[in-house]
This record gives sequence, C-alpha cells and structure tokens, in this order.
Amino acid sequence: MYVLMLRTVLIYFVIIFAMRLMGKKQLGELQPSELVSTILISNLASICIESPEIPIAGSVVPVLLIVSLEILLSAACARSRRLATMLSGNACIVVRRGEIDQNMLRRLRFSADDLLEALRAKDIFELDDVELAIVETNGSLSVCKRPGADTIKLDDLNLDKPLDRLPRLPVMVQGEPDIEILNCLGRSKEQLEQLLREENCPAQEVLLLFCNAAGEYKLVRRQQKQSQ
Amino acid sequence: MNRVRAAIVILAFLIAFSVFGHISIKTTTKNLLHGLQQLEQSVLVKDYTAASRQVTALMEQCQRDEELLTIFVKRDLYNTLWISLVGLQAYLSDQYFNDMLMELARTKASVDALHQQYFSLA
Repeated sequence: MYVLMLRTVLIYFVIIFAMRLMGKKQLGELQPSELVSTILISNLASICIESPEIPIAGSVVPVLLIVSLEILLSAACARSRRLATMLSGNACIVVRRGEIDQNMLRRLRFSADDLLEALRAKDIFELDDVELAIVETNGSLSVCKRPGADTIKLDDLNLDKPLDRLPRLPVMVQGEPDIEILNCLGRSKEQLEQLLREENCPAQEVLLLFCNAAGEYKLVRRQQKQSQ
Repeated sequence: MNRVRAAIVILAFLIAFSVFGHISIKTTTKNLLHGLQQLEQSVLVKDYTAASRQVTALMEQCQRDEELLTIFVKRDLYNTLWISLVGLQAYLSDQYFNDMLMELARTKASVDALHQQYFSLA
C-alpha cells in the first residue's frame, strides 16, 4: 500500500511538471495535437498507478516523451505556418454579413443548432447582427458584430479615457511585489515601499495592493485569524 | 525558448535511457541464454555437479540483475524467470533427465519472453 501511495505521488508530481513544462497553451483552449497529448498523458499516468507490477518507467518515459515532442512540435509550428496548418487546420468563415456559408458548415459538420448555440454563447440572438463569424482551429467560434449592433465605445463618442478610469492592477500580492506590473505602471519598488511606509503597513501585512498609472491605490491588509 | 531547451534535454535523456536499457536487457538475456546453453550441455553429458554450479551461477546472475531488469520489464516476467531458474535445481539427476530438458526449454522461453517484451513492436 505504501508503494502504491508513493507511486501515485511520484506520478502526480511528474504530471504537474509535465503540464508546467507545456505551459499555458495546454491549459487553455486546446489545439488538436494538444488535446491528444493531454488525453494520452492522463491515461498513461493511470497505468502505473493501477498496475503495480508495471515499472514506473512504463508511465514516466512515455509521458516525458509526449511532453517533449509536444513542445518541439509547437515550437516548429510557431516557425512554420505550413506545419501549423497541417497539424491544426485553418480557421473557417461560417457567417458573412448575416449570411451563413452552408457549404462550410457542411464541411465542418457543424449543424445549424451548433452554430446558433455558439452564437448565443457570445450573446448574439440575431443572425443579422453578425458581420463575420469564424470557427477557429480549436473549435471555438469568434464573432465580429456589425458596427450598428456593437456596443458603444468611448472612441465612438470621441471621448478620451480619463486616467483614473484605468484599471488598478495588483502590484503586491501576499507581501510579494510584482515587478513586471510595477514597471508596466511606471512605478518603482522604492515608490511602493514609500507608499507602505505612509500607510504604516509592513510588506508582510499586505494581502493585496492595487495601483493604477494615475497613482490611485487600494490596500487590503491581512486579517488576523479569528478564533471561533 | 527555455521550454524548447528543456524538451531537447528530456528527449536526449530518454534516448540515452533507452540505449542503456537496450544494452542492459540485451546483455542480460544474452548471458542468461549462454548460461542455459552451457547448462544444457552439462545435462546432456550427465555432469550434474557442473550443472548444479551453473544453475547457482545463473540464479546469482539473475538476482544481481534484478533491480536493473525490473526498471525496464514487468515484475511478473522477472518472477517467472526466477521461479524457472530455481526449479531447475530440483531436476538435476538422471531420474528427471527428460523433465530437466523440458524445464530448460521453459526457462529459455521465459528469457525470450523477457527479451520480446522489451524489443518487440507488436
């Protein structure tokens, strides 16, 4: 039993390592090859846990092989559009100015119900509101609304976005500063420390600190654990 | 780019690991088969003292290679081979001559199965 638990823990950390190595792409909407590798990895991991007589290398080696091939393949696809098209296919236009391309729908084996469902998921209930609808290579639908049906933007009203309407971003989380976001906002670590001194709040007591480019901030301090 | 380098390193490690496994299994099975052939020769000339020594040597070799073998092949196969080798001891006499030859053939089949499991595509 201890050996089974140890094998499970080992495989668990190997899979976490594998998913971390493959990156955010794997966790988001998946391309066909990414979906295949995710399914395979999950099946391979379970082999070793279910069958103690199979050596642990029987799961670890195939998992690592798939991970490295997936990374190399995606790097190759990033360089070669032709290879990417071969592996993942092309995005396809299914609706143009409210008109459905029925040949394309048939080619994609998309039913009218599938199309309507995908449009409703984008909060579109009128086909005439669609300027362009594209089925992406991962199967999702991207929609560009016709100008008259689109939501009004500040640009349409010729209004400049005031500085204080810019979002406040988390520059410190659980006492750890996020240097990248600080740089994005044009702030320095010293300015952050100065702010905390003014608030009489050491870094360890900070749960969250939000700040925007205009210098507006919101500090959320850690709460002491309340005994019940 | 770091991920690509990591992928190349992992791939290189896997290739090295496979080559190591290939050499280990091939060497082990070759030595076992050679030992079994020598044992067969001893049994055929009814030299049971030499045969007993050879069986002991085969068992020791199998035990030495246990950790290495079980990294690459199923433990069931290793256990089957081990039991076959241990069983050979019981047939080292004139009385069990035919049984000994049968057991030798079975042990060779176990070694072949081990070899097949690692190298076979089908």
